[in-house]
Amino acid sequence: MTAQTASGWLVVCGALIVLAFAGFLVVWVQNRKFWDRAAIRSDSSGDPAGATISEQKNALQQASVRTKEANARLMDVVEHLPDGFALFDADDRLMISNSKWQDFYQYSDSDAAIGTSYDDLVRLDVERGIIAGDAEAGEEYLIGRYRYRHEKSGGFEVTLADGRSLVVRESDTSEGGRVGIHRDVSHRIRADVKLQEAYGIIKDQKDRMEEELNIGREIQMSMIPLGLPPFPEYNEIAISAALEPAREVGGDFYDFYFLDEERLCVCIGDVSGKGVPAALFMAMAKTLMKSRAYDDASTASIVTHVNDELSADNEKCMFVTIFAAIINIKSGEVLFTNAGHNPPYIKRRLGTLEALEQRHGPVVGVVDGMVYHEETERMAPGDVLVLFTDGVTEAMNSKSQLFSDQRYVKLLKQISDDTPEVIVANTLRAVKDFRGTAEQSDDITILAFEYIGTAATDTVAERQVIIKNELTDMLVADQKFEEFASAFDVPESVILKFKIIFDELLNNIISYAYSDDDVHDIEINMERVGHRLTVTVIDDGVPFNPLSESKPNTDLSLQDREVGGLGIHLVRNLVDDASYQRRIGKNVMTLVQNLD
Amino acid sequence: VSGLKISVRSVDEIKILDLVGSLDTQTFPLVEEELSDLIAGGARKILVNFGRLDYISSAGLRILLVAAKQLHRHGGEIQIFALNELVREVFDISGFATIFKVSGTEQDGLNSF
Repeated sequence: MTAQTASGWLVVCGALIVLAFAGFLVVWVQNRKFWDRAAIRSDSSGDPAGATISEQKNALQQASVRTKEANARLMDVVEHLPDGFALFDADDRLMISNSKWQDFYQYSDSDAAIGTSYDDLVRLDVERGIIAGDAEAGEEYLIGRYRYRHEKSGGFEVTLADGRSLVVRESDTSEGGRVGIHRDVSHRIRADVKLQEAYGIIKDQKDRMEEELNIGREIQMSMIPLGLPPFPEYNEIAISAALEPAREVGGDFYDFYFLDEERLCVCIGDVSGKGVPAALFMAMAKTLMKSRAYDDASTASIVTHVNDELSADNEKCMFVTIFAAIINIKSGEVLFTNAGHNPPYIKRRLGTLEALEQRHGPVVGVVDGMVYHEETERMAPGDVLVLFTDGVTEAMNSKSQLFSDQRYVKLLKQISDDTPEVIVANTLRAVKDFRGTAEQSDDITILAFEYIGTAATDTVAERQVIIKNELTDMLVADQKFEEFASAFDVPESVILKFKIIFDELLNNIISYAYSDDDVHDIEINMERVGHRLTVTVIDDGVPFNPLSESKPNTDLSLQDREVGGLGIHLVRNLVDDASYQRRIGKNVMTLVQNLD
Repeated sequence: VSGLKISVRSVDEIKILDLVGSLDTQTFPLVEEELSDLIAGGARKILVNFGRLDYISSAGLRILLVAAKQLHRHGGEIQIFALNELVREVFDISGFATIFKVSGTEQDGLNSF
């Protein structure tokens, strides 16, 4: 109920009550005066006015009739009020009430006899359990009820045991009495409850949808390679990337993975639309790309196949722009296909910026049977390939201006530290600064790939040892590593350190990695580039990431220390960097130690 | 060249274990057996000489911990002296530096029981 209707309600009821009460009082008071006067007159003999007794009687009768008629009209009005009505005099004794009021509180006619005190009536309510709630609630009701009667402001809500809800509004009469209107508001309360229930349902639904979208976001984020920088064992490349969806889930993606030892596949895509439909289409596109890439050396062929697959049952006519590249990390050769994606840039080591403007076919997913093309480009050591989606260049500020290609070209030219991390971070920051307070309207994705190659000045040494999964072969690994390390000036302390590491890792692999009794190869690659010693240990055992094992508690006392669990902890802490990757069918542990 | 040579000396009631080589998956059973024999024979104070130990892996740490727990139950103790830089690092990483009494020299080791 609004304040306006509430005050209207009060005014109307108040006026009615005041009128009715005033009428009653006038009639009653006049009556008494009349009687008094009549008595005086009848007592005074020889009245000079000369009215006869019969005239006086007659007048009296007429007045009495008028009074009765007025009384009856008043009672009729009170009885027909839409609300319960009760009037108490200055001594808090009931004067007038209607049957609606009696009905609310289930008063019998004798309960509600004229002259009954307010206290008695209110106590009756509680004793008879007319008011909802237990005995204590009854006490509470009494306190509340009296307080309200004392404060005489606002309204007092009463919930009856039969389920009805009343709002009681009382006001003072000019005689010091109290008049109360008791309105049944059950329907309104019910409507409120229903509204609350409906709101609850809507909120539950909203919470569930939000939760599902958040899970969707987690799943989507788990689909793209995070945990950068990737491939620490490859010194020839560096990659950094970021994806910021505009909503919980989005239609952008990037991906990169090695197809073999030398060829890295890198791609970026942007699905039309946003939200869940785009996210599902993105998941399909990304998965199809990857599954095709492993068997297909041509980006044109990969995209052509993926286009056929996506176009086949695409009733919603969604589409995706894709830039796919296969990069040879030994030669720097880049084979690429651009299917409707915005042109990437190559930032050359010497500072020039080139856009890869070539297009090799339309967006993917619309017309099947399209044949896409491809071409090659060469990256020199120090060159950086920058892939991005239009969420970067079409980011909009509050004045509806676009970040634009021009602005991005300028930014890329300005960046002096060309590492992928810096390029990605600067791009995100620039776009965010430009956007200001405006809402992010599209997914933002950026991937920077640096071809480092092998610098000619570095001492490069590498050697591979393959041992069998037998404990005695661990000595062979030690011996070969020592030979390699001594030949390439690795300090004695580092050699001993790696003997500990081999003891931990190889023992672990040989003892626990295989679920069969077959003979397996364990591959150990050693490489020294400049001051960097990199050792990879590769086994084809069951998938196991030793680095995911929890750290043992090394603070416990002798009695509480567990025997065991220290091996991986040592490995992790003895070298400068230890990392794990699961490659197809293989566990790859990479250990890096800087030799100062 | 991998491998480990062990010899045992006595100074009063203290047994001194001299280790030469490396203590790892290949060699730990030798030390484990030696320690277990000493404890079974009633030795309660054992001092291990790491002066000529090249390195120790978790397999070696494990048997030291087992022996220390055994001796502790009998009111005895195992101590170590003369750690090289790498072994010291391993002791620090593994928290063994706080649960074993480590001395610089043999004499300090003998005095600290």
